[in-house]
Amino acid sequence: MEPLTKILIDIFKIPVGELTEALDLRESEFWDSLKFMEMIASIEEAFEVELEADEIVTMTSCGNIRSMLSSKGISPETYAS
Amino acid sequence: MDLEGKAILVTGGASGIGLAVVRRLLSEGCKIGVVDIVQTPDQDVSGTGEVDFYSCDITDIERVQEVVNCFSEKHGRVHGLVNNAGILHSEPLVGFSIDGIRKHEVEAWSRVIDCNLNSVFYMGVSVAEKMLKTRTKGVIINISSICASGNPGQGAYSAAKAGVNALTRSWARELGPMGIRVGGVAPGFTDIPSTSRALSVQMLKETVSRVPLRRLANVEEIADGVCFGLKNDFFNGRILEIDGGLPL
Repeated sequence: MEPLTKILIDIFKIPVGELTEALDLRESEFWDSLKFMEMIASIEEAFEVELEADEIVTMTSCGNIRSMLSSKGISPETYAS
Repeated sequence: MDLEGKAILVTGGASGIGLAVVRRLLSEGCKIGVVDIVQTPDQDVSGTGEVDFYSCDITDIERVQEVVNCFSEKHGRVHGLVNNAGILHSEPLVGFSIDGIRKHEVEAWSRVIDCNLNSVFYMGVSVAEKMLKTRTKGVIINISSICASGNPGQGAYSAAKAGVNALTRSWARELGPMGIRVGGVAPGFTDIPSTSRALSVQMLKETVSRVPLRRLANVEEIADGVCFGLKNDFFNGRILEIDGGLPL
């Protein structure tokens, strides 16, 4: 499983198969604002990146997070180093 | 956190423990914002470092936000907050008086909760928002009290400080993943004017005799604890008791 997907599934406890690229995390039954903070910390650690607040607010779905990371030259498919 | 050059707000920083904290942090090279209800501070500490004074009633959320915005804009971010301001109040739940049974005044209860607990929330939420927006890995230190576990004759004050401890632990867990630490410092009886105002000479004498070290804390010792909390990067969600070993 790719790192980004694993982070989202592990933190939000989303059953495998229910996480789609378009799933709006904030509107889903899995949403929890504290877990969202954990997700940010895990993504920053996994991809060795520091995210700005205006980037964080766009992270509403797996697809959005993937696009945002890609725009920063980070591959969500592989862990940093 | 290395304190050199860090922008830190200290509430109640014009006197007592707050003033000692301000002096200590200035000596560490911090840029300080003193937030206090008085119009002008009793003692001018501007000669010892970069310090701004904000006259502010911290029970007024709008004024609190103005002050935090102003300090944040000046320094670009807020690295730390010391929630020190508060009022001491002694009044039993009920008691006998010459007129019969005297009940704890509801207004006094509200004022104590407002000044000691609501204000901590107002400052905390305003500063934490700034820290998140600027992704600052800052520190919030809440000044609690050994009374937080309950002290007869100080129910309102004790309840407010117990609330401060609960906020401290809750915020530490909420904000920890973002690199923001929250801790508390709980002073015991300290040699400040409010202690001598709250206790009679006899009560003060008895209190001191119960402290294993047989004296009151001095304000510099409490400021030391605050400085430790700000500096130690693994101090989080805990309340540091500086009470000379006094069992309440």
